[in-house]
Amino acid sequence: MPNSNAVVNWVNSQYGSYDPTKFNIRRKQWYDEVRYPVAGTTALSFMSIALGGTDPNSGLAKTYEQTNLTRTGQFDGSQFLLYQVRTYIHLLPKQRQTSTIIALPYWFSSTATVQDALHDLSNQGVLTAIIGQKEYVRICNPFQVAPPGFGLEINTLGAANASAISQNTWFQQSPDQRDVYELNPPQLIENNQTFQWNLTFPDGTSPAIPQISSQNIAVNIMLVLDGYTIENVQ
Amino acid sequence: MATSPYAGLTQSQQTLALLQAKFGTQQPGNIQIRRNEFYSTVDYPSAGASQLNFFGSAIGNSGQTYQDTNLPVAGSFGTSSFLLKSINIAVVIPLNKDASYVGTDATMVAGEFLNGFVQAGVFELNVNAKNYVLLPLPLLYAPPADGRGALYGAGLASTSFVVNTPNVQQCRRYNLYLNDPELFIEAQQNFSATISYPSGAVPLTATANSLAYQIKISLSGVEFRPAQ
Repeated sequence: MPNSNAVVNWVNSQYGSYDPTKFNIRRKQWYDEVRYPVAGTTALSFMSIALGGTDPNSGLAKTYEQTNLTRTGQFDGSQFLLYQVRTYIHLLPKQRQTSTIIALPYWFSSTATVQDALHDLSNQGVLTAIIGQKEYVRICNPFQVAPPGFGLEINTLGAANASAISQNTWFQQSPDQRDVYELNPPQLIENNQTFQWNLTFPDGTSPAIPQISSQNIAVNIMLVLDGYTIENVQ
Repeated sequence: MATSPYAGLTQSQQTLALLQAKFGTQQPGNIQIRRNEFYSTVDYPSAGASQLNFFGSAIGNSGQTYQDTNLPVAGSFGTSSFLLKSINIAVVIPLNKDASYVGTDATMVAGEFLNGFVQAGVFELNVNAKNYVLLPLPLLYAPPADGRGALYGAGLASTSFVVNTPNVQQCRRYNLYLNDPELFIEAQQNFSATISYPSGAVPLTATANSLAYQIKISLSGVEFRPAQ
């Protein structure tokens, strides 16, 4: 077998770990969370740090809770048909904040200023996707226009206090799946194609996150690309 | 003397086939389909966990009743094949009451939904050695969406008032997580479903009200079982 392609193809057909002639399609989400800088920022990059890499703002290694990307700026050898773009402003659970925060007896009534800042953040930003050398997606106000489509049903309740109605605020993007941003027509991202997803704030630095009890509050921004993966059968 | 119907049966497959045809409990080659939902419920420990494993115990094992699971065989659908169409993940709180409307994070159930373990985790569905579903924030991304109603309550802040706290996950059916295209899991095929917290366990915040939390995963779809 003097021809190298023929050699490779023959070896693959005999001993390979996948069948290059057959494909499987299934729904898949590629997702990436980045830590939001407490002082605000002019830009955030998604899909640029793979699993196990270190988030530059949090200093923590990324686990499957933050991303399932195994290659920087690329998918893992499969093709991906992108149908939905979702963003999520993720206030991390109380138990994943600092020990001072964890010890606070009243987290909800303490976060009003943080909720205001998150609400302000949701009104800003431009999300851009560059695939190869070309721009394919540009979404203005992505936190509003491309909400997560998941979340909680929150209904505020008030109760009479001695002198005033007691209420609290909690910000959440639309949890309704019908509000998800759909790419129509969808976008195919081929095997080994590189891409960049950036969230910029062209009008200046985005809102800072106020401290609570002199502690920085951990907020992640999540980007979810929902669609279908086309992968070789194994 | 009549010839035994078993005369000449020297091959085990023939023997089995004859016995099956005459005395069997199912009709080989005939399949019946029905809508079904396989579910599994696991306790959420107060200290949190690095991983919760679902569908690991069959009905009747490890104290599992039909309230907890309907899986016939651990890690498998037994003699049935299953076409998975949707996934629902719900928080179950059997006694869903706060002791008082006025409370702290340690006494209010709402805290777990807004800012607790519900806001973390990764769900994986593996069939044999291969991963087929990987969902971030699974308790949000694949909510119950089972059409349940809700009960809201409020009371005077200055007096203790037992308040029913609704499950605030998405319960409307249009928020169902569809596994599209469907996934066909053959009979006897091994599968596993886990919710893990690789960034660290998330302990309960509302520990003072002594409520027990469970997570229930339901795989909804169409069951293909032998006709009987």
